[in-house]
Amino acid sequence: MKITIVDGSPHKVTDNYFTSNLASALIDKGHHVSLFKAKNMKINYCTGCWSCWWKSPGICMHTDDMPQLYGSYISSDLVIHYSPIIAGFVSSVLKTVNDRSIPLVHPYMALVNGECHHCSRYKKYPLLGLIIDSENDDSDDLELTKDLYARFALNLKSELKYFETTKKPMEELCNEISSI
Amino acid sequence: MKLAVFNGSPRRTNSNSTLLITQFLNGYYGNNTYYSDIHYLAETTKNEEHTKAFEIADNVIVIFPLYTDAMPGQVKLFFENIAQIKAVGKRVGFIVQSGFPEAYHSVFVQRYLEKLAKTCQWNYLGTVIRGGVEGIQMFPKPIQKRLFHHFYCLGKVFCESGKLDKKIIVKLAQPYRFGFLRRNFFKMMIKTGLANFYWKMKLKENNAWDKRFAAPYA
Repeated sequence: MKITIVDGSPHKVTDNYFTSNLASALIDKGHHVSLFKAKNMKINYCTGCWSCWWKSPGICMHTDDMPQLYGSYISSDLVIHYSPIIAGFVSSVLKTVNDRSIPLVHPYMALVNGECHHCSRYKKYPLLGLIIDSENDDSDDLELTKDLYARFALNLKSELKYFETTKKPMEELCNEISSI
Repeated sequence: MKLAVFNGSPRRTNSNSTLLITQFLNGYYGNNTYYSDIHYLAETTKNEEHTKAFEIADNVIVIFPLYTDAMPGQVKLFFENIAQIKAVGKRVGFIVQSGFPEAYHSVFVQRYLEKLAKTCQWNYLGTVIRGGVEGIQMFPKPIQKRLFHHFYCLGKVFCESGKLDKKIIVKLAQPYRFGFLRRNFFKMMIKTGLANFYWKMKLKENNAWDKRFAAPYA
């Protein structure tokens, strides 16, 4: 399985080895893994210009490191996001990456399960997983984050297929991810 | 009572959030000059200034567009910063506007905002949700006027009572979800192309029509 991991840690990821260990463990299980540590990349905030929808469809006007992530994302079977919970939700670093996913969908609207949603731009989208750093034990925050991510996945033509915390041992995480 | 307004639109002054909050402030101040500070959270170089402004305000209104089903990254950064300061009892209200016609899309972030306020021990004033705001400047004048009037009244009542009026909140959150009639009407709009008229017009205006289904990372 082709897996993209997006590390949304708010710190330069010399401090944090979780996603590096996860990537290594998944590679050992035979997966093809690409790891992106968002804090170590140049990722600008979305400015809401909608250039990616109506000037250069599918292409963001920012010149930064996002294009490599777009390519990996859209060619993956599974994308795993990782973040601590900060102020009740994933980090602003990861939220900024999510905001920049807008070029991956089409501006046109369609009805999905009776709700308005954007249309697909691509034929295939990866499944989505989210692993939360377990420092925060607030079950309400975890539930809210899961719900918000399920909505995010739905609008990104995907499905939140996996949600866990780092409390689970690495071996178990990898086995569960492998079985998706 | 000092009011501070935080506008979380990445488009800053040139945004639908600005149009709506302007109506709110017109209602809040009547014909008087504004003396509220309006802080644009997209100006992330002013993070410390924003945190300080939050700290010294009595009443706070945060308005932002729904971005990928939650708050924009700049607004999340602001929340991370203000969650670290002690502001027990601070009166904080939120306005979330989105391009989706149904309010339901914003209900999840509304739950988040309520929980954030609870965790930080702020006095949560409520969250106003308004859908269908994209393209607001092209709305027929009577519809635009009615929408603006609701925000004007919201600001006026907030000035008089210190509360975000629940009746107006309910009105603004319509449609909550599509019922049978609206769903079928929308299906017809999609079939006739009217549902995507705005996007089609913009694609043509920008000479991007031929590339509208481009998939550059496939």
